Amino acid sequence: MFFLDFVAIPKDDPIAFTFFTGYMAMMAASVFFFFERSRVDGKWKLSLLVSGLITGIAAVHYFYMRDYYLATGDNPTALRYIDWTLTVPLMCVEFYLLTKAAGAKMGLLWKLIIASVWMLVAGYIGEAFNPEGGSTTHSVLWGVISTLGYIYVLYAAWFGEVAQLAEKSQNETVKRGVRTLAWFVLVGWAIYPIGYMCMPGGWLNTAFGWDSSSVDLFYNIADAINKIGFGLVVYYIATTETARLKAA
Amino acid sequence: MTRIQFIFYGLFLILLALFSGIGQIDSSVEIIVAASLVILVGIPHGAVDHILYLDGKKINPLFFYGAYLGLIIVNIALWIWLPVFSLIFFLANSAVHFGQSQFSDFNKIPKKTALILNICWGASILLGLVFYHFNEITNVVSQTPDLLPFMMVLNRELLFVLLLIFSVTAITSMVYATANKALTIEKLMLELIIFGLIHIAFFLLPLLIGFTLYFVLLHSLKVMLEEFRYLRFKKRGLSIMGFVKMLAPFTVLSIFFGAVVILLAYLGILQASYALIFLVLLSAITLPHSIVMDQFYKGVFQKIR
Repeated sequence: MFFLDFVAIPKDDPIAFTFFTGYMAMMAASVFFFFERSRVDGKWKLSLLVSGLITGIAAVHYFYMRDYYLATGDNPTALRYIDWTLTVPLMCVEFYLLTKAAGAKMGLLWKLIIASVWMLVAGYIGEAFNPEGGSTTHSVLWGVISTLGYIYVLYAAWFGEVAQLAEKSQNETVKRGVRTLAWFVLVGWAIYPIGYMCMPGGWLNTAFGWDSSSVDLFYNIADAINKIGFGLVVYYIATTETARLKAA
Repeated sequence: MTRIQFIFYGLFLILLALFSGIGQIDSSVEIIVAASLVILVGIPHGAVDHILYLDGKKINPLFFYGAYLGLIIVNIALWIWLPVFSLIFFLANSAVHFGQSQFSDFNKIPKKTALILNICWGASILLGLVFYHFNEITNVVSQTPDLLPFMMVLNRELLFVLLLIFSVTAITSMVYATANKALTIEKLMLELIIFGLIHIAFFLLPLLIGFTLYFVLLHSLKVMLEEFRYLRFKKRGLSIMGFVKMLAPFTVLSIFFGAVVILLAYLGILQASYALIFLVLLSAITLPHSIVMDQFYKGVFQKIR
């Protein structure tokens, strides 16, 4: 049984270390969000469920990525993008759920999901279908295409529909929460292009010799912060609003 | 984050990706792109100095125009007489001006802190630009006879030390202002990110492209929006077209004058390199413009902050 398999973590391998800690942290966060769901007001239960799903899906993928990495020493690119293709749109769903009370429509949800999937599919093509040895042209082309999707989500969170709806909600907790999530998109999600540029043919790879062996470290740390942090912001909004409703 | 900062960030990402694939571009392409944007946005941002300065003052406009032109002429004369001093003065003046416009929205920063912050922030980005492209600049200067006197200021070690000092002081000033509640933590984070992005853009992008990206978006466009906001406050119903009409006369005049000077150089009547002419012209209009903007930010701009 796989639970009884002994898995050796090399002492000098921070990437393996972060795969393990990432997997456990995501799993713990999922358990936390699922259990805490019963303590928040009805209208926030779905948001916490989504937070739990984000970290739960990531936990399962990290479990497999951990094994893949330890067995091959390679970047588990496909598994990573499968994880992101599921979890990043779910993070966009959180934006929709938080601003639903202020009038967010299904159209907004679809736009955010399409933009995030665009970002990820283009990034995957850029990373996984790079010719042998790495082609800068291929990497740059798909990097630019992917960035367009990122810029849309960033714009929506800071100035566009999401930001405007948060302002319209007249709810300070929701406004602050959406702003914090916008910061995650600005700073937290910016780590992924850095990793992308370290792939063979990527700019950081060709200009500075930064190689893709460092990429997984960036991604693992970024994933843990972005996914768990994102969920904790939603948790904060849910619990604060629940307390406010109870006090009223 | 302001929309302009967002546009800067977005363009920075796209340009970074593009230039990483394109690699080096021809310097003539760089010059054409930079010059076009400077003409479209950079020059116009100073074209309403007369309106901003004279607003509410009982000063004869002719006196203002005389003083403005006088400063330009004195500046040009200084370049002929003391070129190295003029270059250093130009860079120092630009540093203060860039810093002042960057933090113009923050009216709670104490005056001394604001002065230190403005100087250090502006100096840091300008020194960064020179330091990151040191070889390229040294190459151009060493191969242009009338730029040779400036070789004495091109000392890599000194530039690095100054860059470090000004950058650290700028960051410390921002943190100090935040600790004194003149900036919110969010504003501090944004300013630090923008500060970092400008340095990264200057480091990674070709010299003129990186500088143009900053100068056109974060400086000129920002200042023009502030000017428009103020003028619309003074003259209700002022449209964007109305504002463009206000900018037009002196924009056209500046471009015309600049073109005449370049033509004189091209015909060999003016014995100077294009690089020196560019520096002198830019310096000449920057001096009176920065004085007007300093008065603007300390005076009437307070009404609409």
